[in-house]
Amino acid sequence: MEILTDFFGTTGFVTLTWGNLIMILIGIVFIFLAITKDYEPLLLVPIGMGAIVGNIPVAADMGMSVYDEGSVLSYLYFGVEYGVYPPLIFLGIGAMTDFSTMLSNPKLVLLGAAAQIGVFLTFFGALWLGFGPKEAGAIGIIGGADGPTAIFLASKLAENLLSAIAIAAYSYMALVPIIQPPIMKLLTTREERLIRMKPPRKVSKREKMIFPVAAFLISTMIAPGAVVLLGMLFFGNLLKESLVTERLAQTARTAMIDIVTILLGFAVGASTRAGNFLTQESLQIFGLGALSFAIATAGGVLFAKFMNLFLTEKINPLVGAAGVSAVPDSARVVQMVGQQEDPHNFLLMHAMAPNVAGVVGSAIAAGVLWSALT
Amino acid sequence: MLLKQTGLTLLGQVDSSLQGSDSSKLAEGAVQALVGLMIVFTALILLSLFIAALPRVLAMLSTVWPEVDEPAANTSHTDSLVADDGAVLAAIGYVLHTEFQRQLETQDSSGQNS
Repeated sequence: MEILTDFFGTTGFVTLTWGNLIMILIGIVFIFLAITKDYEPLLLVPIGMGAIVGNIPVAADMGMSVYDEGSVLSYLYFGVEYGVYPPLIFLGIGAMTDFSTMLSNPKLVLLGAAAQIGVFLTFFGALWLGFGPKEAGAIGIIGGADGPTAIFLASKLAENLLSAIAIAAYSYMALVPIIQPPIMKLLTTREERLIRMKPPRKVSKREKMIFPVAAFLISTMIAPGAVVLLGMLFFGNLLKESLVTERLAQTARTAMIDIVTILLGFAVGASTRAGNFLTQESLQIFGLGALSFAIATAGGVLFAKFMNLFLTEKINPLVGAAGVSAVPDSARVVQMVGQQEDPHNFLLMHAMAPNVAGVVGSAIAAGVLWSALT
Repeated sequence: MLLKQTGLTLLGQVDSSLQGSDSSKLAEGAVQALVGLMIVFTALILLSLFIAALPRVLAMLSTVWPEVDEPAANTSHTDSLVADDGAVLAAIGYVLHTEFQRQLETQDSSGQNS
């Protein structure tokens, strides 16, 4: 009987805290949203399940969490903690990204830069709230709307905030279809939303082959801190565009990115142990993340309107919202909002240009912050 | 020397001097944010200019080194795919041959019946 009593004392029913319960519920909500609303299911399902796993209370001497040295979960978390997974994800993204629309309309690259205003204003906002410069830099990058970049920079600058930053970044990426449309509509007139853009020109194979190498050289000579992320992104793209390494590109954009996504999502979820995650700082990070995302969206839209003052062939300002690098979700949102006004206006291809430029822009912003704050 | 003149180094110097009061820390943060944004813009403007110039450079280049359609398309096929292509062709050939034979036999038998 005593054995049973001792055993019962070690079960989750006795050791479960309110914090654990809240985190388990959050994990269930993530899984629910992924399944019923189709919000970033490839990320929210692993993160949600990871959050549930990470919040089952176990006896202290069993050492099973991501934070316990030598535990299985700690080995999975290694890739997050040391920033190994994000560059591998960038390799896969590079191998699946077609830069043609960006190459056919280079003006739209600037929208990817404009959206990064969210990163730097949030960095300033985090400083104002009392975070240290490194922590502020890691929080600011949430505005890049790029989960792997946010994890990479947080692992380098503010490891203590990593799980909160990762969850905030991925949550807001999943909520792109909810956060962006009201801002886009608020900042544009109906006439602007009806603007039709010229179809993109055909891009030659040679252009596509030269671009990854040249773009890498240009970007990283200016921001060497972005070498790892951009190196892998453009390497993946070179595998795709070189036409002679199709097998490698195929692996990078399918099996490899899937494996890394599973490990990254699950490990990030498992790192949200209530004691580490449910803090006032996490709430502030979530607030700043939402602000950051909204500013980034507004920055892209307003910059497109600004560019229209000088352009003869006008840009549909909705396209500016795709400057945040949530690929391809924000481009899809642009298409959706555009078609609400004119069902025959196809903005998706145009929106992909600032969208992929946003990926490059947020990686450069991360590189700049990393270089400057270490 | 050149690097020391870039905004990146300026950013680093600003960061290392974050020792003062909150207001000066915020002022320095604002400078950092501004310089950081300028660096991102500079990188992407240069990228944009490069992309804009690339077709012209390639057009000039194509006079001495013309671009061939599908230059390496065949080499992207793996051996197994090439083998599969042969197998598919053989299968199509077999099906066509069988179908023609069946049609001929049908015609012959209908001719004999009539």
